[in-house]
Amino acid sequence: MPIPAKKILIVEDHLFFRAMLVRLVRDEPDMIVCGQTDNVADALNLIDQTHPDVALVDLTLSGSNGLDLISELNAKNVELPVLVLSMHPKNLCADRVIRAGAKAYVSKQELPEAVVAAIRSIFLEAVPA
Amino acid sequence: MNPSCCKKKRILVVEDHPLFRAMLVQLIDQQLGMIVCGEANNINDALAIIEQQTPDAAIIDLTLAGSSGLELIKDLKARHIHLPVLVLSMHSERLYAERVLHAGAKGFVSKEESPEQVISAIHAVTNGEIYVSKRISQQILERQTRGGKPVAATGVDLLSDREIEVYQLMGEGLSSSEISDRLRLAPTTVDSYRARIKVKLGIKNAASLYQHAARWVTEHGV
Repeated sequence: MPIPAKKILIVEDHLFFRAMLVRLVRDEPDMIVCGQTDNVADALNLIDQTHPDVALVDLTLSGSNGLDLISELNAKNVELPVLVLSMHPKNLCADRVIRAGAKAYVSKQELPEAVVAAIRSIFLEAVPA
Repeated sequence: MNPSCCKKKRILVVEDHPLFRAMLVQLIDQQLGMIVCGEANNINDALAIIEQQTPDAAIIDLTLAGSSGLELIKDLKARHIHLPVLVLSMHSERLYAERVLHAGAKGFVSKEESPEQVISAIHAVTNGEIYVSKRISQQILERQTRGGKPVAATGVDLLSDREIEVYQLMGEGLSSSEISDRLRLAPTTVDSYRARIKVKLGIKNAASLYQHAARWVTEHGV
């Protein structure tokens, strides 16, 4: 039986970039985009409604940031692995983001393949072989 | 049929974020009428590609490693290279669109627009048109119809292109010496930009200059 595609939520406040991330994820055979938004409040609603497997969240969002979303999820006991994306290089930012509760960090200094690989490694890790 | 109408327009992409650049290149290559003929993340590489490849148009980010897209546009103008340039940026279009047009670009499109809108901006510029958003063309027309009567400029509108760059980097938390490295300016030059920014914005000391700059960067999502 084919394994159902994993549901990815995309939270990014720049429209162009968000649309490009949606295309990137949608082109993968084992992933679908279950929702996209530019802010934390809508992200929380989408998580309630669509139960994503992974959230890809930009660190900088208009009026708030990706770490706020992680603390909201923690407060609500929602177990959703969050992959934080930001333009800072990995060595400057990854530790802080992981300490704040993100599952993983990927920099916009990387190539699209690295973003896809980072998403995939999260859900592959979550499912016992 | 005129064969020139079927020839793909060759586009140079100048953008310093690898992920963003790769996505932009992919988007352009998916279009029927255009193809990416070169990619660069800095001014020197961009100028070399422009000389070798003679692209039909260039898409340039305002923020580039080690320098600014505005400098590249000014370099092209100084070298009498007539290459249509579209600026693609996360910076505020209200503040930058007219500045880049003055510098010699043919268009400004914000990263707040959809991919479809970005593609139509590229089409417009490669076809010799000028592209700005409706909001910006309205802003320009409104000023024109006021008979050129100047509107009182406030805040960062008062700053020169270079001063804005310095202000922005301060807002990102860079020290004077880091700014001088980044913009390849002498430290004394950076200091004099800082002094002018303080005077123009009516800011008293260095600490509150940093605070103002940081708040501005946060508000403008640089």
